[in-house]
Amino acid sequence: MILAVDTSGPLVAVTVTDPDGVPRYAARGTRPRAHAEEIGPLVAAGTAGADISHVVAGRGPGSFTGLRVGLAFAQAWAWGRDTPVSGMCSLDAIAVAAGLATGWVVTDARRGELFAAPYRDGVRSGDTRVLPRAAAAELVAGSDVAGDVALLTDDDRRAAGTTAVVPEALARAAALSVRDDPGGSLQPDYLRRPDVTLRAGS
Amino acid sequence: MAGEPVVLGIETSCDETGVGLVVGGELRANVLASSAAEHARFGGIVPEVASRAHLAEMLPTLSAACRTAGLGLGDIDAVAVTSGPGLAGALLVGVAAAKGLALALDRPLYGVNHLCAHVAVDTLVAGPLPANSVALLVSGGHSSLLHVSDIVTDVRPLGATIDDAAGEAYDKVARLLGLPFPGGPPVDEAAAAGDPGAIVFPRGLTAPKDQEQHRFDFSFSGLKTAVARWVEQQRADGTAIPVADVAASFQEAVADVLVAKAVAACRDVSADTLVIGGGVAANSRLRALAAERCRAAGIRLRVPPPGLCTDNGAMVAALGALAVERGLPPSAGDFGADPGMAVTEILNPGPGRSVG
Ligand SMILES: [Zn+2]
Repeated sequence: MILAVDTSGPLVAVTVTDPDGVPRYAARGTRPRAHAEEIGPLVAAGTAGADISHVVAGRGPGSFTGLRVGLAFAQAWAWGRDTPVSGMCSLDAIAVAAGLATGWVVTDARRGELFAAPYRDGVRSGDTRVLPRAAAAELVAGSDVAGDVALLTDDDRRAAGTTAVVPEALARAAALSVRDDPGGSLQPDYLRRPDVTLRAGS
Repeated sequence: MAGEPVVLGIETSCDETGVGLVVGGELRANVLASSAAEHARFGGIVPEVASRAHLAEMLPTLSAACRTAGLGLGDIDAVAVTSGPGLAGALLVGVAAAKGLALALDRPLYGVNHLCAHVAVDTLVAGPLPANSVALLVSGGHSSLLHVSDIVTDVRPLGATIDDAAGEAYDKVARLLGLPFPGGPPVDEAAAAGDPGAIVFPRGLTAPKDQEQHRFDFSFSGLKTAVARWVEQQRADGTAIPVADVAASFQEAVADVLVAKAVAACRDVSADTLVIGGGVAANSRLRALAAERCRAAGIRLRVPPPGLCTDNGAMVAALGALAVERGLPPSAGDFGADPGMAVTEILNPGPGRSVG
């Protein structure tokens, strides 16, 4: 069984899945940005009695502070159990949830920018990047797009960050990542340098 | 090792990633990875840089600690982690890692107070702390006087800085004098060749009018400004700055205030033991002056070796070990990082606590 956690969005997503991506357990936090508070009990509930052979953690992109909670937790858990652990791009779960084959996933990067990753035949086909709204809109024009699509055309900030990693999609994306990239990097996809003029947490 | 609890402690409240291992009150490993060098060019700690470094260093530090101690994961009986006070993003890395490890090992987890851990670490060196002690904690992040009735159950704040931490004043004075960051060690070094009586700098909050409201509080902002003015005046006059004398005189003012208030606090609460912790405790003048005045006042002075005064994982393991020894319940599973954790909250009791 695969334990997968993702803390790239405001809510923790945890799933325990078989290698085919069929979730045996799928849970989501309830309090925004309470990753550290919620991740323990959610993982405890999902892993009780489960034989975990691989751990996967979403490496973003997303909130720096949030990402680190999932990655630190997953690494330490896997170390404690002497279990392999790898990272996956959190946007893959959004592509899976949307059933995206070829096109782009975009999510809110704040400060008027978007994260964007290209997909071909359901597989990420290039680097994830962060770019200004207008540039993102130009980049994805004419393609299928999943994620915070409203942000491409609309200045309405209420549309921001509405797309989240859902545990069921995380299960499928995590199973695929274990199949295709079992040694995937655990480096967070910060995509931005630390901004010394701003406080941490993006 | 039967009956001797093995406690692993994780510290990430500022820029040091620390993991310590304590076996039955004996220190077995104290491994540190520091991002201090990365902050140097900014002249202060950049929280995001510190948080990134914590994540990158967490596993290497954990495994190095186990290797150093010659212990396996199966030997660990409990995990302790700093849950506050400190930088939110930095604390979160340690808390998350500690939770993952404790859950994987199915071992109890204690969220502990960083300030109390600075005091508890001394028990690894000098044994149990007397029931009625005073602690002086001075570093780049804290300047506090605590009344420690019992290090795991009863710690009360007597005073704290009302502006800068003592270590911050060192950083600022170092910059004024063209010395590197962090300022503590280079100022101390420069002061060795200087005359501490050369310039009389102000002692914050020591005037009679401050005795009522701020008897045990500190203020280093006025001192810092006084040093800056003095240096500027010299420059304006075209006089070379006597770096050693400025450093020594500044250091004398800091040590004088810290020790005077700490000794007065001991008298006030009838404590016969003073513990000094935090990075500034490594300062040679503070140590010498504290030793001198404590001897005169009949107070037993306890200062851990420098490696245990600065932030580290051993101090967290030490406090966790005392909690385990005392049979105190572990923290609830859903505690988080508490950047403003009050010193009265020694162990994190989890949800439902009143924040005050
Ligand atoms: Zn400290």
